[in-house]
Amino acid sequence: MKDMMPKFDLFQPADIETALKLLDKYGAKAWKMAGGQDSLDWFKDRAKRPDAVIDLSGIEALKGIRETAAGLEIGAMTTLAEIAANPIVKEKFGLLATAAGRVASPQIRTVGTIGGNVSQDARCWYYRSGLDCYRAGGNTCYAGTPQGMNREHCLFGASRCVAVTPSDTAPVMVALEAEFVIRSSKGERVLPADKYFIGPAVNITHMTVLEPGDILMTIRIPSKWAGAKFYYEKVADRNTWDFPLVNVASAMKVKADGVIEDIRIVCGAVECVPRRLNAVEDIVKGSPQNEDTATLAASSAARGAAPLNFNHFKIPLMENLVKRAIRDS
Amino acid sequence: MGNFGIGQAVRRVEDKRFLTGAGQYTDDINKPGQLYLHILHSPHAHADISSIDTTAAKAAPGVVGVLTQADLDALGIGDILNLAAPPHKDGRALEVPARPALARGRVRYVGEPVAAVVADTLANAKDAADLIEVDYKELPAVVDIADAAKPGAPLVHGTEAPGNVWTHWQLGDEAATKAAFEKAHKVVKIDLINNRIAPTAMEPRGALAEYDVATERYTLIQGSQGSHKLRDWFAKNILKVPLDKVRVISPDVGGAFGMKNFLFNEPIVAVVASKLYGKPIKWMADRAGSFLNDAHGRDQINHAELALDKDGMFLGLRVSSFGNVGAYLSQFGAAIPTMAGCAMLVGAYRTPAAYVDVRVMMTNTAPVDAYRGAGRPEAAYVMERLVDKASRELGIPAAELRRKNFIRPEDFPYKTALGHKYDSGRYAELMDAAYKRADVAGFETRRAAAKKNGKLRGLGISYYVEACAGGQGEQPHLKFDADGKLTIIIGTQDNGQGHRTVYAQIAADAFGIPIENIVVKQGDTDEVPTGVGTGGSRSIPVGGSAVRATLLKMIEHGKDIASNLLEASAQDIEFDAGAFKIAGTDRKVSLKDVIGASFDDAKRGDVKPGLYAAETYAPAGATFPNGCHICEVDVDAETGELEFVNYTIQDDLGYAMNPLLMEGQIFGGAVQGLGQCLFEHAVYDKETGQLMTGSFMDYTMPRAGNTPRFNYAYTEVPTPNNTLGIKGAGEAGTIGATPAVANAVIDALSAVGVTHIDMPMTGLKIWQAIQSAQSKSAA
Ligand SMILES: Cc1cc2nc3c(=O)[nH]c(=O)nc-3n(C[C@H](O)[C@H](O)[C@H](O)COP(=O)(O)OP(=O)(O)OC[C@H]3O[C@@H](n4cnc5c(N)ncnc54)[C@H](O)[C@@H]3O)c2cc1C
Ligand code: SF4
Repeated sequence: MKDMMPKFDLFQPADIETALKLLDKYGAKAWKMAGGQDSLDWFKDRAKRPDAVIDLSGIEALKGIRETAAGLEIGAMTTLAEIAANPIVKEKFGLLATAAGRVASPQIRTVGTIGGNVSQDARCWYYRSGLDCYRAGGNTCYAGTPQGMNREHCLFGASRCVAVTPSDTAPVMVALEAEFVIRSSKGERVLPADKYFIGPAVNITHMTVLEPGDILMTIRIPSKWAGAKFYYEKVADRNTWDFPLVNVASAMKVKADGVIEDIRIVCGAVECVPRRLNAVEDIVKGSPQNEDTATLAASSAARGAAPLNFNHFKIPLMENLVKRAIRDS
Repeated sequence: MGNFGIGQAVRRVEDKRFLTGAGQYTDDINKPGQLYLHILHSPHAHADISSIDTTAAKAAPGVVGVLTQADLDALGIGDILNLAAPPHKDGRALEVPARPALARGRVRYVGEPVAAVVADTLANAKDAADLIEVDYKELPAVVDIADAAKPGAPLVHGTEAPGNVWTHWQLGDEAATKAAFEKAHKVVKIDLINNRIAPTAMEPRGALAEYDVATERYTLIQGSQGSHKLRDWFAKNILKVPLDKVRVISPDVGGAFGMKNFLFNEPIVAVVASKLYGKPIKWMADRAGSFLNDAHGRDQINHAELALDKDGMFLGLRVSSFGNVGAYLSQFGAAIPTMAGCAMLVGAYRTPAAYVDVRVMMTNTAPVDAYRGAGRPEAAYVMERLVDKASRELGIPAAELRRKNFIRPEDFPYKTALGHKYDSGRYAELMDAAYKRADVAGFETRRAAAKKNGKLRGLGISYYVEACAGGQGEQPHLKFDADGKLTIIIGTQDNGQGHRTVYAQIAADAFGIPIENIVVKQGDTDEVPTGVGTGGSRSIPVGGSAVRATLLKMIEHGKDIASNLLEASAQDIEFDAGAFKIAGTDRKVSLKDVIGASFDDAKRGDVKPGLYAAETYAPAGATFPNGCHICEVDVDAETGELEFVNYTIQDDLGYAMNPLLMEGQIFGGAVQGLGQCLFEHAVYDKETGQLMTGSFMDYTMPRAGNTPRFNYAYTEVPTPNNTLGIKGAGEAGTIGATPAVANAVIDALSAVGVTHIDMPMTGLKIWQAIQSAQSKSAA
């Protein structure tokens, strides 16, 4: 039975303290909602049934983009559309603006937030349809079986669950070395992006470190990569609305003589977490930015991939995207 | 001709209402005390129902009643009718299996309505539906043509249709075609899949039914393509009551594409329940329900062969097809792969001999019926891909091969080998115009430039011709009020096209009155005496010509009144620019005065009172819209992504009544055509028979970012077959686009050695085709 949300209590706190209190009160029975673009589907499909929904949209402290001495601070409740259009983001971190602008569709970007985008749950259709798989707390995986429909699933990091990160902005956060500021009633902690996202081996029911009482407050982007050479590309079934089959985000510093001085390159939708391509980085650092370097780098991009029945195509696709990222950024 | 006259790009008079949310669609209408109907769909593709236990559901909060087919049978409710029964080639009639509104003992596709709950709220109805216990005994199922045709395949209707073949139908001259192939210099063959698609109207189907005890009358509010058909079916076939006991009202309709022509299960239950429970009953499909139980479209396999002589002249065409019509015959289901489109297989070409045979297959899937184009897109796709393949195999450029074989202007009216009589056309001239506008001459340079950027550039052309706007006539009623307002009452049904605007334009033009003074009424069988409805692009060609014929009759009546006012003989009176004049003089009387006099016994003379008329107009024959689509695409070989570079259309839709609305029809139609070609595919799982594409997450609709900017132009070659010379625009875009886009993709991929790919040509499929061609060439 679809399209009818089960009942829940809706809270719309105006400040963070009230929100945190509510979260503590309802514990695992509470659901934090930002733009609702991930949340509402779960409710309508009746696959998640929280008792209380805490709507964060009334909390001003979570909104907006600020320049600081260290770089940029983006409130978790800032919409993707705002980020895509923000002049500072565009000027300094064009990579993020591009990626935010490639999420879903204009409608979804207008309400969907950056906090929600990096915290969204897996888009494995077995899991989304409410089946009792590992990720849902059960004891089987439907996608990883020989008959499983796993075209969208992972090449790397499988651990019982083979779902991938579906986010277009998550790889950018890892590439730009973003920091995630998280608050709970116990206080604040700050984690680097590559610690924020977690795989099934760490916790099979979570895509991020967020625990029930946690709120993602801000994402800090350090100035380190401001103005670097960026490359972002996403391949999907359609150029709007669809989740990435593979995406790539890279930030690169190139010396005047054309030699790649420093680089971070990350692929999404190939693993449960954004996959940083260390081997590629090692190969290209110190080499000239050209076709040969790109081709060499590409050949190592998918090293160690363990494809499933229907996602072999992701290997050459990933290689091609990496090649372009090195060559064309 | 005034500013609002025919031929002007008048904006839709409907726009303001629709764009400000003031439209009234079925779901916007609510009746006091209405109850809500929810349908329980079959979760199985094929199963016997041993029992249905509704006890718990009936006891659930808010539930007023639960219905199964046993209840409908006890009430004597009729089954859903079938209206198309193409005979077997040996002359046997087609057996039409029963199609009850709710499953009778067996379910035959996932989503088939099984039981119905009526409750005070929709939520209660849905919750209660979960409590219905249906005891199913699952049976093996078959969902696609290939499997259904295999020996030993599960039989969807037992022995009623052996081998799951409803009918094996034929058209054309088999012997003459065989002879043509025997003398052929070259035979070109192609095997094609015409993918199954879901119609996905923006407004899902719905119904609001009410029964009035005092008058024993049913009123059904339902978005449709013609309320009279529905009324007749409900009265005669379903309820078995006199016609006047049923009133059907179609309010605003948010898209139909053929699918809202048909009689479906759920409205029947709503109508029955409205009497049974004595309350208005509302039912609205949700999107998931639409995917499951709307009639789907296409789903054919075609094997086609073209015989050519050494100069590339077509000698004969032979096509052998399979059409999947689903688990039951929807009203016109069996006609779509057969009678509806096959005669168009010869396309725009002089093909002296042709023969078609079609097996109409049943499977455990939702019924398949007309979808925008209904048979003609399938035909155009087959022929235009075949001609392209012939062009490649013979090394004759696509345009040259087409031009050689085109029906020439002097050939019209042209009787084809498959029996149609084409009305008019200037095919070669239109193709040349399109080539020029698309700068085909510069294509190779552009292709080379694209290659430098790592892109595979492709150019695809189609020259489509289709048949529409023939058949039954339409009988509008037109009347002036005393204050000069004109009402046009007509039995066609707008689904968003803008009929009100165009009918009003026709009348504004003739009477010289402003468009605001004209009201168009449609959709209510109590208000509109008769109507055939909207389908087959007929409304403006036939409905428009009928409005014209009727208003001419009114003008004659006006002349009688004017002759009395002017004391002249009616023969001497002419009507022009809003006034009745005595020919050759300046003595005249205004339309307004004539209208006034028409209500004035003292002034109007010895004629019937009022200024009104009704007239039946039937077209002399079908019309044959045609045109050239040229599509230029870039394929990214490293990702499989496709981008439109240019898209040029040169159409002949006959006389262009309203170029703006005509373009709207063509653009929307072309997007539907490219949607089928590149994205859309309704897929059932072969093992379980489950619909895999049950939401917009899995059923890939084209979005704005996937569509080209159309470079549009048209040439008006009027049809002699209706008085306005209009050929029809509703389906042409869809019919032309699919083969043009497909040919462009194949042309792009030909650079890496790919010669064939089936629809939908998704990024993944394109990419895989490139990969396997590359690994083949590497090996
Ligand atoms: C049709 C469709 C297509 C899509 N296509 C894409 C795509 O192409 N690329 C892509 O990247 N995404 C895509 N998405 C996902 C969409 O972009 C995200 O769902 C959206 O950005 C989430 O943002 P939101 O604010 O709406 O999140 P919500 O739905 O409100 O929240 C998402 C999750 O994050 C948690 N959360 C949100 N904010 C916080 C916070 N501040 N602190 C703690 N937890 C929080 C919520 O509890 C919830 O679990 C698509 C979604 C849909 C429906
Ligand atoms: S891939 Fe993960 S989410 Fe999907 S079915 Fe398997 S365990 Fe569940």
